Amino acid sequence: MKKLPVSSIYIFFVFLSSVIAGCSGTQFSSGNGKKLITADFLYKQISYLASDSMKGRNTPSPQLDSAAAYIVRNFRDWGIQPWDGSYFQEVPICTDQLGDTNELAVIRNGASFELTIKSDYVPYDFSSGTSVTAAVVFAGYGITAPEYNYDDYKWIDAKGKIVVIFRNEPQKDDSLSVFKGKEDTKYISLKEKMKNAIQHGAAGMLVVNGPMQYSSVKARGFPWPSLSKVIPKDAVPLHLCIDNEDQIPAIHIGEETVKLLFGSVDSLRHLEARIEKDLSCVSYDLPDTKVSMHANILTTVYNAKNVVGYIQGTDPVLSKQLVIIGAHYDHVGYKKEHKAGEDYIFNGADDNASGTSGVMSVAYAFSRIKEKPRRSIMFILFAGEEKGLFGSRYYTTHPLHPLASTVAMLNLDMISRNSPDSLYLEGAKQSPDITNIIRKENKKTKFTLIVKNSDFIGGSDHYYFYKHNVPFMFYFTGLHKDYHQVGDSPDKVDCNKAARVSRLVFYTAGKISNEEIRYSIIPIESDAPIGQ
Amino acid sequence: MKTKSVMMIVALVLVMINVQVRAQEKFKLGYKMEKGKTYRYGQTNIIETTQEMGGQEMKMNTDAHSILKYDIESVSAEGTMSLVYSYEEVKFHMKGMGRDTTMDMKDTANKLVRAQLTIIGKLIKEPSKDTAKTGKSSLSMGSLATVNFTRLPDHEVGIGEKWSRVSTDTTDMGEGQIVYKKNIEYILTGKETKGTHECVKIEYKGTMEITGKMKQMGMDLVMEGNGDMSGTVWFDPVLGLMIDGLDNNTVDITMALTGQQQMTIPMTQKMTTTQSLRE
Repeated sequence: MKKLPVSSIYIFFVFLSSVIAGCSGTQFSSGNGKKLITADFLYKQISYLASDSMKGRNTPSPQLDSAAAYIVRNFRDWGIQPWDGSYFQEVPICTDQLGDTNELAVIRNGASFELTIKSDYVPYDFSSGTSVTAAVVFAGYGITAPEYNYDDYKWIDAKGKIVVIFRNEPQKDDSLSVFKGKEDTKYISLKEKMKNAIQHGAAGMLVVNGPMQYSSVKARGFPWPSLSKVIPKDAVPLHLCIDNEDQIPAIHIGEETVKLLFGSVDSLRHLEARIEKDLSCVSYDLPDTKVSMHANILTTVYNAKNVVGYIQGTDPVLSKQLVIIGAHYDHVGYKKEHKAGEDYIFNGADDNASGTSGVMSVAYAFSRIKEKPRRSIMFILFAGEEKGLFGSRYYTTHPLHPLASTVAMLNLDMISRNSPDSLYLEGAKQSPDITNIIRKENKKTKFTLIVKNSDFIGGSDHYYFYKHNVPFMFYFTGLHKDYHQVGDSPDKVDCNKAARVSRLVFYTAGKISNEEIRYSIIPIESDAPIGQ
Repeated sequence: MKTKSVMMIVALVLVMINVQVRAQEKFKLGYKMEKGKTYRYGQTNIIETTQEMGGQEMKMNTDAHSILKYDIESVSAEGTMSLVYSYEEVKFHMKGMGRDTTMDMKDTANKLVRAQLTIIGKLIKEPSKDTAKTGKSSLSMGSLATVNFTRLPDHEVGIGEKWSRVSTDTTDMGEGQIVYKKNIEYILTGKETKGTHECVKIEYKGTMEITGKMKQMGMDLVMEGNGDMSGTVWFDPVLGLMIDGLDNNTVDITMALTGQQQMTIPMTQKMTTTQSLRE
């Protein structure tokens, strides 16, 4: 027998390994799914996450942090890697209260007229907490809309000045208006108006009700608890801190302030009438007038956490692409006022300990299979979904890996209730390729798929991925009478069903993470319903 | 010059005579619904709700058409009526905030509430005869007891005369209550024919304050608001019945949620209601 040279043996092994890699790459072995993703596994996670000790995993709360720590312990035990050294992505969440040093004064010809908070002015919740004293310019509706050939800033220089603008849009009662008739356009948003004011260099924004469009020129602004007898402090909603970055002071003004600035409400009505007539630009600098304004916004910051686990792909090129498997791990907390002996904890077993456990089981399965995926996989458990998709919105504005290289997002939210064989797939219209993969992989799990081919995108964490054009699928087993009730407890979940859904996700992710193609996405329409 | 002066004097005299004649015409107004009879009113509500969240204004337009039925069970010698009121029909159409919904509210229709009112329309007893809670609808059965019973004066009034009403009405809703405090001034402005009815025309305007506290879906909800109202009622003094009514009100309300969700929702609601006796 002729001895092969060492180099030939090396080439042979390189060839062999490439064949093996090729086979494992295109032939993802799903046989382990049934063995690794079991009802017992799911039950263990759900019963822990939805136990009374977790007190409903509100965002933010120590119990939510405990849930995050539990997920991380498991990820670490299973060899799931952190991302860039950390299993957490901090999500800064803010809440605001109004302090007591607010100020609004109109300075005319050197004389200062102090106005009274609540009756004459009320700061908005999206106002910055800064102070400004500057000249004043009236800027119509504060809108620059080139597509409608409309610009309130056309004739004015707002740089360093305080702009006074109307709420709403012009010609709101005119069905033939270029502003989409009586429908709302994006320009109606006060935040859009603030963005536009900032782009034009404005230092502050005063908002007023147009006397023609509104029955009164009252200052309402934001309903701050400190200005009310009945609104509790904890009614002020949380928001992502990034929402109020780069803002200017913004105050809603009432009739007295209008009189000081414009002489009378009728003067303002006259300006409004001129815009209504033919969309004229009637903006102008208010002569010899300055305004001094300060919104005393007191902000408290909480850091909620997205939990992140990672499996590096094996393919040198494809591993730079990411498949995200996600679920939210928060719920809605507990009733603060309750009777003795009453069940007061919203356990959130189905919503969404089930989805969280599903993601954990898929992570566990991927950690245990020998043939690792060619594309990289990120497992994300989002915080703050119940408060307004905070975790996923923050992730998509601060992605750990570029969204352009994120090939798919599979979202599990409420996967353990209703009839054993039914499964909703939402996103079929938007992500047809992913839908086709799931249909094929479902031959192993045999669900009766209820595939929604609608514009409704569903109110869960896939929404912001879709907004960023990431192909997605939302796995969901439907609403039930215990939704957001204390009855959503671990004893009512169907762990067999949750395990089957998780296996379908595992098979789908296995397929996606071993393919080379990119999947189609039908881009979002600007007015697509969020469905929150 | 002389002619002008004479004409002015004549005009003044005519005005004075007219005022005197009208002043002499006094009305003792009262509800005179008859025992055993059923009265039906068609009612239309046009509601425009504007709410603001995070700097985004959202509008919801609602129009509701209903038929309200009053069965008069008894009438005392003083004119106090015991009546049962119910809806025969309630249809809603809501458009806005991404929804376009039509509802035929069969759950509200035919639910009965018994009430007792004095001859001038003062509610003295309103025990529930059947479940008339609002459930998921925004329609308040409780507050409808007096919807067609404008408060009449307890004394004779002539044209141009005013009377007022300060009231506190309470409506049960979602394990809680909404309290309406109203301060309304009425004026008898004249006479007008409505169909076959010789009516007196009552105009009113007033203010309203609203406070409320309730529980909905495990959340605590509080509300506060205030607003203005105005309207006209055409009342047949002989039959003792409202024939037509028109009411406009605008209310600024703030709702605040705590519990599962934290939310403050400032909203403005403009409502126009027309009512008409169906004969």
